[in-house]
Order: sequence, then structure tokens, then C-alpha cells
Amino acid sequence: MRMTAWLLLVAGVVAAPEQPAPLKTTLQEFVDRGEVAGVVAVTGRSTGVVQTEAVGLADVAAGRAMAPTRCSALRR
Amino acid sequence: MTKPITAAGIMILVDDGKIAVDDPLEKHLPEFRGLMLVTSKTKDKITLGKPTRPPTIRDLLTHTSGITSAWPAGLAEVWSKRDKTLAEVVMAVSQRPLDFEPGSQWRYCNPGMDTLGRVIEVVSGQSYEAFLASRIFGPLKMTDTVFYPTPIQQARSAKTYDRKEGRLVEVPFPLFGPTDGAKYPAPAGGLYSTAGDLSRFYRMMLHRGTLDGVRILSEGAVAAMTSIHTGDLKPGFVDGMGFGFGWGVVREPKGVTASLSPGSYGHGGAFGTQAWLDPVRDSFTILLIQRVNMGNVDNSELRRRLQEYARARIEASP
Repeated sequence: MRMTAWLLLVAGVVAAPEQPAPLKTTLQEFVDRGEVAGVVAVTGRSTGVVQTEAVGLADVAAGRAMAPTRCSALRR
Repeated sequence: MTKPITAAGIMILVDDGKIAVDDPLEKHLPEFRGLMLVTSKTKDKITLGKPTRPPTIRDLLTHTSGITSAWPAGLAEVWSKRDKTLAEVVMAVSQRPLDFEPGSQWRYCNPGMDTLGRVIEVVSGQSYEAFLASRIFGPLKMTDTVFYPTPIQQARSAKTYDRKEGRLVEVPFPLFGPTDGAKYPAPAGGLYSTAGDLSRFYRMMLHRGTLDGVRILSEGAVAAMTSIHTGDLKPGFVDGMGFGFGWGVVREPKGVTASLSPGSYGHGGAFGTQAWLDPVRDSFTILLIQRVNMGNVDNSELRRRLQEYARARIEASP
């Protein structure tokens, strides 16, 4: 148990300086500003999705939350 | 973001040996034979001449065909009404003169991309929608990527909003009309999809044409699609871009593309959606929002912030 905690601490010290602001916080900023009702954002590699975040609403009137499974129109 | 998928459909037919990108368009769609070129235009008079060469499939894939980007007056509501077939719309497009010599300018062209959709139909013998379903969406298990969403998919769709007087206001069916009863798939922008489905398409591109043992495109087709074919022209909606086959390609990262490598490629959508793939860093980002009247969405702060986040996140992960 102590060894596990120590390893986690070392990993945290190594990774901490490079971490950007959490993606969810960044996306929420645009929802809070009233620029968009909701957002889904994905980062990934060829091997798979690294992170998916959904914030805000897909339907404001109905109060339905945005979610990664929401269909979006790809106009253009 | 529909356009790169239409371009992938064309490149599948290239891989099949049924099309060459340097084929004249008229080889596959004879209604384009004898196209004329607008050589001068005033309020009351248009003068036509013969172009030095006919437009090719390559010209259409790179938005350099010269086909006019405006719809014929009688088809101005083709997207909102969706009451004409793709064959009918492209027949009308074929009867208009070119705006410029093929290959001489870059001008973003929705009718040109729709014309490629019709090429897919004529060459494959399938409808455009059925061809993409059988050769891309089905094999990649993109079950929510459709031109005509089912009632269940419609219920899962995000609503579209405009911002008026500081508030978000829902806008039902902006730009494109309802899909119920629609005849027109709109290869230039008619798809609906999800984050998960799009991730699979972009992973296939980063894998140079395959995903989970299924080959969609040859490595050569992916390389051709994601290379710059527009020479010294200045294409795209932000500085430092070139254009491939259906994709914008980053020539010189700057501004909103500063966090991407040269050779990154992607596309935006009229409702603010964005997807960009960086083959050097083996990474991709997808941004799905549904907002109209955001200005130049390819230059949005939201896109820039997501890409910056993704670069740091990918570099920090093993």
C-alpha cells in the first residue's frame, strides 16, 4: 500500500508541470459565456480515443444534456 | 465535414480502377460536355468562351474546377426544400458556364462536391447514400452516420442555436430542410454523425486506410487525399493552408493551426463543427457544436483551445 502511494506520488510529480487546464473546464467556459448550448470534444490517436468530454445542453428547452452519443449535423 | 467523406467515396472508386483523378468530369457525366467559360460579365451581358481544358475529377476534389459556387436561380432553395434528386440537381449545375479556367483559382464550391456525389452514383451503379453506407459506414461500424436520421436518431440529435441579443435562440432546420421525405442527400454537407463514429473514420485515416483489419482506402489513396494539390493558390479559410482531395491541409502552422504539424489535415462545418488530424503526432481532435452565425468557424477560439489542449494531452500521455 505504501509502495503504491509512493509510486503514484512520483508519477504525479513527473506529470504535473505539463498538464493543461482540464478540457471540461475549457469547454464549460464557452457554455457559460452563452456562445454554445453544448459541446462534445474528442482527442485521440490512431490506436483509440484518448478523451471524450460533453458539457452543456443538447436541447435547452427540454433540458436534455449534451452527450457523446448525440447526433450532430456536419454541414459542409 | 461531409466533404472529406464524399472525397473518400471517390478515392474508393479510384482504388477499384473505375475512375482516375485526372479523368475529365465529362467522361463520367456526359451532361458536362461542351462546358463554356464566362470571359466577361456586366449587369446586362455575359460573354462566353471555350475553356482551355475541361474540369477534371481532381479539380472538383480540390475546389478548383471553375464550376460556379452559386446555385442556379431556380434551385436556390435546393438545400432547404430537398425536393430534387441528386441527378436532377447536378443536371442543372452542368448547364451553367464555368466561372474561371479549371485549375486557375481556388473557390469553395458546394455544387462541385455534389457533382462528385453524382459521379459516385453513375460509376458505382448505387445511390450515393447506399455506396457510402456499403463501403465506409458499414465496414467501419459507423451506425449513427446517416443522411436521413431515423426518428430515434432525430430524438438524439443536438438542436441548433443562433445567438441574438446575448441569448441563444433555437433555429429549426437552418440551411438544410427536414430530412423526412427528402430526396436530396447533399454530398457537400448532408451528413449527421456522432463523436464515436467520426473517431472511427479519423482513426482509419491515421492508420493509412485501415481500421481493425478492414481496409477502406489504399495507402496511396490516403496519401493523395492528404497531400497539397493546389500549388501556389491560397485555399482554405485561414492562413497557411493548402488543399488536398476533400481535406484542407496545413502547409505552414500559424494562428489557429499553430499547435498542428505541417501536413495536418481536416475540415470544418457550417454549424461550428471541426475535425483535425495530425499524422506527425498521431493525433486527432473532434469538436461538435451546433451554432449558426459564428463568423469564420475555421478560425474559432474554441477550435484553437481544443487543439492546444489536445497537443499537450497527447504529448503527456504514453
